[in-house]
Amino acid sequence: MKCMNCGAELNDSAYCPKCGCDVSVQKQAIVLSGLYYNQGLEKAQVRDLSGAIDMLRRSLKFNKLNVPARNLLGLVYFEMGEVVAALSEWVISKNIQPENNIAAEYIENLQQDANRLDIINQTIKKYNIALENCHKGNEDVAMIQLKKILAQNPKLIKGYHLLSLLYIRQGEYEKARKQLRKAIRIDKTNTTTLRFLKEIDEQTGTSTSFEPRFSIWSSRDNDGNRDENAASDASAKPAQPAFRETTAGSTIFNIAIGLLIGALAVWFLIMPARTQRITQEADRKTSEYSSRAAEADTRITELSAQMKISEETVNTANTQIETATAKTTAYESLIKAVNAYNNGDLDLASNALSSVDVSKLTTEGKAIYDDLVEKANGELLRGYKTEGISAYEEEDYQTAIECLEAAKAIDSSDYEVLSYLAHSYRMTGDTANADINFQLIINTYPDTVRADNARVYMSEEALAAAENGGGNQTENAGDGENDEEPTEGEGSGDGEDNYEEDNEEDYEG
Amino acid sequence: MINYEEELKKFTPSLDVDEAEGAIYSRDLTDVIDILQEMLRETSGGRKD
Repeated sequence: MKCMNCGAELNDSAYCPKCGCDVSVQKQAIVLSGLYYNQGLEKAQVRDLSGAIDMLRRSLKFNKLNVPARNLLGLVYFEMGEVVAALSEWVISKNIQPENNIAAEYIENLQQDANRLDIINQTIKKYNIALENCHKGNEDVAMIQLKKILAQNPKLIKGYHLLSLLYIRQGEYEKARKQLRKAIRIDKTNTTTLRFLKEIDEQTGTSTSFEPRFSIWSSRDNDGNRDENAASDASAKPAQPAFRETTAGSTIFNIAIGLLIGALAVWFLIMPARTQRITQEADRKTSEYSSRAAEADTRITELSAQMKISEETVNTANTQIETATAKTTAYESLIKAVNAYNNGDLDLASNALSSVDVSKLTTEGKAIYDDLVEKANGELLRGYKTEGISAYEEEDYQTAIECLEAAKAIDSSDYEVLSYLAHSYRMTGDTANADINFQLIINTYPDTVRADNARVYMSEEALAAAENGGGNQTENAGDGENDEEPTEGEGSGDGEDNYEEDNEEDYEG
Repeated sequence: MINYEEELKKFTPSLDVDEAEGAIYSRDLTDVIDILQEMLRETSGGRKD
């Protein structure tokens, strides 16, 4: 150790033997530097690289000429994939102590393996590009690049962190956990690694286990470490017997225990998995059938709607056909009536007219119908009336009644028809019908000579009933024989006197 | 809860080998002994003055 003031070699004294400067603080700084180096070395040995870096930096802050601390710091940087930082420390170290410095060997090894250095350099450049892609929002590209980088440089701890961060962003926590497990194998106390793992543990609800999954294999791989650990733990643990004698009974018991454990493992591990698989399959099939049933229901609904529309169309068509048929029938009947009338067949014309549905005719058809009805009924009435009167005069009262009833059906207000009909009934002894027709004359032509004449021939009972009951008898009579109410005909007044005189003569005679 | 944007800001680009020389020259190597020497110089300079 040399004096910081004059550079003279120091002894155990707190003062420089040459310049007398107080070097106690310098000596304490150097001691502290060495102390921190030791702590850094211990941490590096247990792969607490972050802790080692912290300690070694402190060591160099107290004494920048602590070459072992600087070399170890470079080695720790190199282990974490920070090649440039490692090279920087080693180059500085070499400059401080050019001879007998292991940093020179490190630099030489790196320079000799130019290919490896180039690969590491390329991975650093790619890492920077991936980081830039992250900032630009191209996370997918960055993830692909980082996977390649970590395949080439598996010690680049920053790469694991960035890839984990991207996985966490996408919610792929297990993948992030896997990357962080790799990172923690390199550096056990890296704060970023631990912080990300804590976040993953909180999000997934499961704590990250750092124990190797297959302890048998890992124990084989770490035999050297185990031996060392065994040596260190030997004092703490009780000594295990090297040989243990077994009996046949204990062997059988052990086999039985093994079988029991195997059966329990099958029951508790395999059976639930199988049950779950069957349940999932059943659920899947149920879902499939449900979707099929839903499709079938939809199809049925569609077809029902189509069928309903078709039925409505058919009903509409049928209605139109029925309407057209009714119109056709009405016009056919009208044509038949016109033809019959033209041929002089008034009965056929009348029948045909009665079958005509007037509501189905157009205005022109209705006019033709009305005209034909007027003509045909007029002629029929005249024919029936003439024939009836002739039959009455020939004392064929039955024929007279038939003809005159037919004439009355055409026109119930014709006095001649009603009078001859009433007398025809009277002559045949049918007083009831005779009274009905006389009453009809009285109602149709009240306060006239015709009504007085009718009263003369009515029976006493009917007359008394008419006088007591007012119009009741008339109404009853009308209901029983004819539904037509007595009306005043247009031409009734014209022929009133002529018929009256003729009839009176006939009746008296 | 990790904020992606904030965490991403903490990631800085790494220096590649070509940039190592500049990194070495720009390193601050001052230690406690340098500070003591400076203090000593200042003290002795003050005495001379």
